[in-house]
Amino acid sequence: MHTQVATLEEIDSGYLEPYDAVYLGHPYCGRYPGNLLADHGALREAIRRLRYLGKRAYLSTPAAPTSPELPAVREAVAVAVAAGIDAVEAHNLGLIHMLAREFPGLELHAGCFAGVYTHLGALELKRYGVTRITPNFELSLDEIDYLKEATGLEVTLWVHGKIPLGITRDCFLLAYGECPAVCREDFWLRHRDWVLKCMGTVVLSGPDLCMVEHLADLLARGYRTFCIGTLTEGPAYRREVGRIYREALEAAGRGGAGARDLPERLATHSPHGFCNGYFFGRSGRDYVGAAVPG
Amino acid sequence: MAPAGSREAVAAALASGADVVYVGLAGWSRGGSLAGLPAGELAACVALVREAGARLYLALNVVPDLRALEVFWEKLAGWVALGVDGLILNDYGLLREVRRRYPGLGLTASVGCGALNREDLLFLAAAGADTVVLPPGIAPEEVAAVASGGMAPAVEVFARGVREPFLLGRCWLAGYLRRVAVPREGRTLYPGSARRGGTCGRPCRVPWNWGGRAAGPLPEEEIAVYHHLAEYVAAGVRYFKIQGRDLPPERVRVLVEELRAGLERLDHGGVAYTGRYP
Repeated sequence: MHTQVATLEEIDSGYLEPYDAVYLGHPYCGRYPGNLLADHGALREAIRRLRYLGKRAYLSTPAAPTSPELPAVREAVAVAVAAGIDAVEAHNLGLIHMLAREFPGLELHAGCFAGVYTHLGALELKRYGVTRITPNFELSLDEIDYLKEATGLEVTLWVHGKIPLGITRDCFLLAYGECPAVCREDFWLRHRDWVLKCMGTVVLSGPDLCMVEHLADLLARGYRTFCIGTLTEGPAYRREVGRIYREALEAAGRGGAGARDLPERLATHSPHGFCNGYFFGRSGRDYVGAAVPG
Repeated sequence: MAPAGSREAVAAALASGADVVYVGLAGWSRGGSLAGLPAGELAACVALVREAGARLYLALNVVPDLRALEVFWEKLAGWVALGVDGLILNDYGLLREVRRRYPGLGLTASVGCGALNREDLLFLAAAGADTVVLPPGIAPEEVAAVASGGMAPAVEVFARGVREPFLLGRCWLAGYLRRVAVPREGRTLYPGSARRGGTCGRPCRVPWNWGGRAAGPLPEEEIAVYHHLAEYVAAGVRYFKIQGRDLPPERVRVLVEELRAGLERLDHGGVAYTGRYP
């Protein structure tokens, strides 16, 4: 089970205790204050701390880099590799192409914006040394099952957190406040009963994806790599949600259902409720709870 | 490269000077039935472009149901047999397989492939693309950074189109808000998702409340670069494209005439422009 951390100050043993691995860096905004991708000293220290805590350290990279930004990404990856990073996550096809060429042997993960919709796409990434993929959120569980079987690649399933729904080249929030402070506020977009969270260069679901009631099914389908998306959340969310999922995964691994109150405990951290994403072939904002749709 | 959503629009594009016309097929192209031809119309469109000495590209820019790819291959064989000159694809995995099956077919990596930088072009070229489309609104200096360095596929940009709030191919908001699964012809379509066989319905354009500070749609911008064509050519652009398979024929005619006039001004101005689609 892994999560995401954008800055050094968020790396604290207590808050990361439930997780096996952490993706470092903010992939959506190079100007995000303290972004580990831009501060090499902090990046080295972050990797050292994760090593000390016995956790795997992965580096996330910009989701939509332009040509002039590529050298800085290359430099950050070189720093991370020298510091002992375990893998690098890329959302951008060009970065995968570049990193495979310039860092042969480096373990590569394809992130959620890499556009993995088909097994043919996943196999294309495998040619470049990608070992782990996050399928596009629009795929259903049945489609992801097929993709996993057809490629033999390790698949990350996001099981909790706000779903990234779109990225932009320009920050939406600059009209509403000063950079970099404005995106540290909770900024919600609303239309009727639709709620989205806006972080400037990425828009996320307002409700949290929640699959805590389906973990036994996910394990039975063969999934072993789960992500709790916490990039836009505070440390308490990261710790508490992680603890609940750790408990639920251990119960599911023993064949149990876990405590009945898990959704209620999670709900205290999700002011806009839950959704199930696209896993069940429905609208991503729907929430079916424990029921398995027919 | 001109858009057409009907036989009449194909004729209008050709009459006003398009070198290539691209069409979609309902259920296999973004835009749903509004911008996609019924499959039975494709042969007539091929005949029109042949008569005009032009080319026809088929925009297959939805991701086919990955569990029913045989349906896709079967359909594709029929469309290729009708004489389409090339395809516009937005799944990089499909690019390689189509290139293997049809080595002579023109293959364009759609804007939905998300190319933004030089390395993206190299990735997509390795997968089989001979042309890569960059996002609407990209500046000439950005194109120059992408297209520099020699060996790479041809670069295509939008001469006219809409710079949408999100990067094309990097948004699945519509399917998040409203989506249903519909079985059709042995596969599953999702009419609420443009990339999965339907139309997005532009939920980004509804009046959103912005954190209580404002109300309005997510920002977008119409772009037209007719007066900057020379800069784009100098930056390495090979082809210009007009967005809008849902446009009426008369509008297609006007837009193609504007672009053709702009390209002719390039010739008269001494700018070497020899863009001809593969």
